[in-house]
Amino acid sequence: MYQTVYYRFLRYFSVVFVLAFISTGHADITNWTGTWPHASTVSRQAADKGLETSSVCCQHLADLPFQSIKPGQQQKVEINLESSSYQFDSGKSFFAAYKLPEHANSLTITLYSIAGKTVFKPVVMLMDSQFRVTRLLRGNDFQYRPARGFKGDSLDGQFRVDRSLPGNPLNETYMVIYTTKSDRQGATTLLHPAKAYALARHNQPPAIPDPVAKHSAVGVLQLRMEQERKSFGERADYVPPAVVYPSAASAPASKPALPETQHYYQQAIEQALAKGDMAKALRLVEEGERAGVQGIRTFLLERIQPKQ
Amino acid sequence: MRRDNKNRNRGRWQKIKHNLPYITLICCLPSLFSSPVSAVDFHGYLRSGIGGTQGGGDQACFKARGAGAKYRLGNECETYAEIQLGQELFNEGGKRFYVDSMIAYVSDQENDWEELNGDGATSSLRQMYVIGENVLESFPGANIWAGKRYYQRHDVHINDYYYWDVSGPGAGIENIDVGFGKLSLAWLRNTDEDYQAKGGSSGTNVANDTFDFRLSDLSVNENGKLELGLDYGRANLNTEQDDKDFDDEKGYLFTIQHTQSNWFGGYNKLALQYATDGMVGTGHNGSRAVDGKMFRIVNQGVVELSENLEGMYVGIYEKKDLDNNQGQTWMSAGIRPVYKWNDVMSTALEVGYDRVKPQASGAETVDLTKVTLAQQWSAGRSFWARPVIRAFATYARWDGDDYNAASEAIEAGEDDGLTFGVQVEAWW
Repeated sequence: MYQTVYYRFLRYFSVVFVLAFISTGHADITNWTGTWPHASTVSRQAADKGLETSSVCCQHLADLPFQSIKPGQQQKVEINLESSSYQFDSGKSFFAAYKLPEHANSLTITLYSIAGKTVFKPVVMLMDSQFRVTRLLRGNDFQYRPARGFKGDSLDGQFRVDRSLPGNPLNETYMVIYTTKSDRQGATTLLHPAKAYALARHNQPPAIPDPVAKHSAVGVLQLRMEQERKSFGERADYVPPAVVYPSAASAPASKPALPETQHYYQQAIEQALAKGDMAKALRLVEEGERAGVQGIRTFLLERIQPKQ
Repeated sequence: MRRDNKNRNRGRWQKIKHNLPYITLICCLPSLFSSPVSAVDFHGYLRSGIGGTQGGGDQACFKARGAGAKYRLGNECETYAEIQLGQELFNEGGKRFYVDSMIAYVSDQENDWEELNGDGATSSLRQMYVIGENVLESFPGANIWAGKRYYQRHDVHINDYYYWDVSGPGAGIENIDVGFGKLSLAWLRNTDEDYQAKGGSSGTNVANDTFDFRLSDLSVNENGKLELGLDYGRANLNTEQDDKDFDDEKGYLFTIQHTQSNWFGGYNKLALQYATDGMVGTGHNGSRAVDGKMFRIVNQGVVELSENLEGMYVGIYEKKDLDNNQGQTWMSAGIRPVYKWNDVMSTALEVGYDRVKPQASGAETVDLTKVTLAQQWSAGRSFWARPVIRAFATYARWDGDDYNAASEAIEAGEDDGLTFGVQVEAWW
């Protein structure tokens, strides 16, 4: 008697077991894997069209809508057709703009641009508290890393923002994520998941082409910002000068320069670069900034070939 | 008992202590290579889990008698793991050297404490090789390699069947660009242990050679690639073995394989194989094999029918005609459609059928039908997304008068069985 009840229980056990697992397991597992966002589903054409028709939000970098972020945060950055756009020197682009924490330890910022049918090839512009560009991270600063574990296919980049002198006006304070016109023409070849399986098992990968993610004007990124626990003995990518040099410290001119002046400085910088005279190009940037030439530092940075 | 363990442990510690200088040397070996050393690449594979059978007992894994493989969704009764550590040793001017290693481990998945080599558990050093990429001036793009290695293995994922696998200790040159394709040459070894020669004399350790030639990456049609393979195997007899009239049982294995991409959102892979005598099998020469012939077709593919429906299918036909009449014909067909509810949850169904017909007339043909339903949670939505945790139930049906299709969890004479459990599978 006891036996029959036992067997009957077991017979239905498998079904109950699966059902129980579905109901309890689903929510939890969605939570711990759901932190990895999904790639944008907007096609490249639709994104290009959206960008073309979008109206530019602002005239100056200082006017961009900067969002504050806190260290220790992991957040999804969605650059979509509703995002603001701006006329960068490298072309019009949708962007996401952030104000980095000022009174914090040095920061390690990691960006993953999620790849699917399309991917957003990011450029990160960092600016000091006076909206002067300090760095442009682009090209090989973001590298394709195939899906692994809970991380999907993405273009990944990591950089450090120094805070060894809190309150220094030259600290990198603003971050803008955008893309360039030429980057949007490109594409990234991904690793086919069947090949990833073969590589992990040391099998011969199937003779099939890899999927290609077209670079798009929109995309989804995962942004991770961590505060460094240690402040010494670590590599610093950009340490702003402790002494405030007069040339660099002067605030940007209140009135923007005339287009002719801007043209002059741009020409002069291009000539200096053509000759390989970096020192002169830098001096021209500093002079130009004093004269109120908008975006002259970005102009130079964009003309310096990223290291391959 | 406890004291024995203690003594044994002490003995082991002594052994470790004696070998300490060597262990240190091996650990520090990478640091001896001068060029800038990159990080260690960690790759691997694992599957493990727990289950039970209707009627009580551990889970049962059903397989048709004599079949080369079984459909695997959830229904695997062991813990199997591969730990791979690799590192770039040198990378300058486009020339690169890379060392790779792999330790594999399998256990019956019965206890917390399962020794690396003990009751129902074994471990193995399966790979330990160095590959030099682009180092031969005369063959740009080609790789030379030597050591123990998984060599260009071809498998069917859903039934874990390796139909072309010559892996073992070896050496070779890979990917020589010949203009219309890539040529790979390799020499590999496997060894037969106890040997009984025809005259009744016996011996051990017959070294078998496999010489492997592959011509791959041949473009034959739009999105289609062809690969041709020839494996020649023979026993490499020493003088004593020769004198005792050991058989070298040489043989050939011919493979022709076509891969079609852009195929219903995925690909299809068709392999035709023909083998003779010692090479009847999947790539290793058997010096004790019986003369005969083998013909095999393996057709498999992964297709994505819609955004939410992806699946794999396979069909296998293998006919072994042996001179001693002990051959067989194995037929197998299976599909595994996966419906994705969202990016982390999917439902997989696997239906498989295996049929084995012995060559000897009068011998009973056996077959087995298996259906597995699994609810899966995985990192991402691809058919290949891993890790995956799956809760599964497997039902199988066979003729119990002929054989028992599973372990002791199934009573002899039973014609069907239901088993269920939770399994994890991961690769990285």
